[in-house]
Amino acid sequence: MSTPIIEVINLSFSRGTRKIFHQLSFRVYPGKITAIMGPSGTGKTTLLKLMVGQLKPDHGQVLFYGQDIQTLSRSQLYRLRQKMGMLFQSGALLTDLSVYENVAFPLHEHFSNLAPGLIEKLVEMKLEAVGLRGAKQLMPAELSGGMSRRVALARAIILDPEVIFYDEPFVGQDPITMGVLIKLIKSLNDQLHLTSVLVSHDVDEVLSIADHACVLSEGRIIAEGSPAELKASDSEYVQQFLQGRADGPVPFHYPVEPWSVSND
Amino acid sequence: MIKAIASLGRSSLMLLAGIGQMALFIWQLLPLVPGGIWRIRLLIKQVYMAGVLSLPIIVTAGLFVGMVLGLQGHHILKTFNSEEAVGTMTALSLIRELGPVVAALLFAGRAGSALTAEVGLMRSTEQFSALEMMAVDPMRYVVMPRVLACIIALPMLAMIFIALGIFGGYVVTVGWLGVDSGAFWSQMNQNVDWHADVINGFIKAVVFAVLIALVALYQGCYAIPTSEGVSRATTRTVVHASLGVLGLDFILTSIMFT
Ligand SMILES: Nc1ncnc2c1ncn2[C@@H]1O[C@H](COP(=O)(O)OP(=O)(O)OP(=O)(O)O)[C@@H](O)[C@H]1O
Ligand SMILES: [Mg+2]
Repeated sequence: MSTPIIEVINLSFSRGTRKIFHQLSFRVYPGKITAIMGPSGTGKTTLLKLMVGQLKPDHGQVLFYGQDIQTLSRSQLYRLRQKMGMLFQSGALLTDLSVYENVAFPLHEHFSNLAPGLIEKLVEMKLEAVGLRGAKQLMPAELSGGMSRRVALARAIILDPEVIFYDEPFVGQDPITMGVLIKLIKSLNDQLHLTSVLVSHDVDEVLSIADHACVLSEGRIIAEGSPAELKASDSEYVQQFLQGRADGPVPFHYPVEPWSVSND
Repeated sequence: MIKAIASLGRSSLMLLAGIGQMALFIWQLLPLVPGGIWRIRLLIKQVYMAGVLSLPIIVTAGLFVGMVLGLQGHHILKTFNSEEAVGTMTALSLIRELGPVVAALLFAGRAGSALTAEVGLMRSTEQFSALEMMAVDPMRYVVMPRVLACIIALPMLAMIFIALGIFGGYVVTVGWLGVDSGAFWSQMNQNVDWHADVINGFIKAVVFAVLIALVALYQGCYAIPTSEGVSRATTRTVVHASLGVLGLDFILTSIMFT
């Protein structure tokens, strides 16, 4: 296989006394869709933030193009981020700007010498791709959760990034939009030769487009491989997660003391 | 007893940590000042939000404070048979103290609290993270224009407050209580000094503006990113900024007017 674009090596991270990750390692290869799946609260969002350098790991490294992002200076990190796009779980649109201005924002900030007409064309193209060209004058407060996530997606791809991170892109979308988004993520990846990192717990949707998938549980990757390999896995953890059963080896509860009715 | 000492120690440690964090915050902001001035469009928007939207409260308060000063001044000065000095008294108390101080207190309540809430909510809705991911420094894009806007807006608001206060005093004393208009203005003209009074009053307003801006944005940036955290930070902004203004005013007055 080619050299990985992102390498996570022995990553450990805790919040307070709670260990979120312990010695986590995996690789993301260029041109592929890598999915990270896991139950809610396992730290998928946290993992993305560690990968893009917004959080610092306690131990371990994240390598981008072979370079440890912790050793980068602030301006080097910012230059690297111009090649990344990120879709936040909450959308995270700038609430004082309209939909159009939000999508145009990265262009205005980094390529302010572009002709205004060109900026407008680019923005309309991306908004068209997510089906919201008609909504460009609306303010973020006037959008539904699903719509703001799609605007955020248009914003994340406006600079034609090399790597794009999706945090739960399918949550809160109707079946039609979901289908469109799945196709969009797939076609962005294949036509623009992007590398995609997709974090989600929508198993079926993710497995339908991913090239490689990792299953996260209790701070480590318990299984990885192609979707077909995962479906064929004989690990009980993997089968429980893929089929969505509540009972099984993967804990559904946030760690607590065993719950018992005292009878003394 | 031990507990009391321990809690004293804890709170003074927290105070020290807070001061350190604030110093770091200022240290991060300083290099961004020159760049911030050139982002004219961002700056104008923030001057509008902080300054223009504070005008109604400043105008109303200025008028009423001036009118009350006129009434009280006239009442007191009459016992010394020197009602004509009421113009001087109104103008001096407004220019030296009440203009900058009351305008700053109102500004802390009106604009400072709004800034803390806005920035705190931007952080809690991940807008700061999103900016960082788009390789835009939130300190440069969000914080700096707001700091500069406060420093531009508050001195102007204080001037407006003073002008309306003097007008309010004039209306009450000359229009209503029958003080001679010529005496009102000429005494004021003779006794208000450009440098000692007006410039010093202006300097006070600038200092208060820096204080309020730093407190409000610091609280916004370091608020716990939940609704409760932001609401507490907003309250803290008003309390800390107001007390800070009053404390600094005493220090400045003792330097300037003794
Ligand atoms: N700021 C924080 N402070 C302390 N703990 C946190 C913080 N953010 C997240 N956590 C903890 O880290 C864990 C992982 O959170 P994270 O948001 O990464 O989960 P997630 O896998 O993205 O979940 P979801 O699928 O619901 O989005 C959670 O259990 C949470 O309790
Ligand atoms: Mg998440």
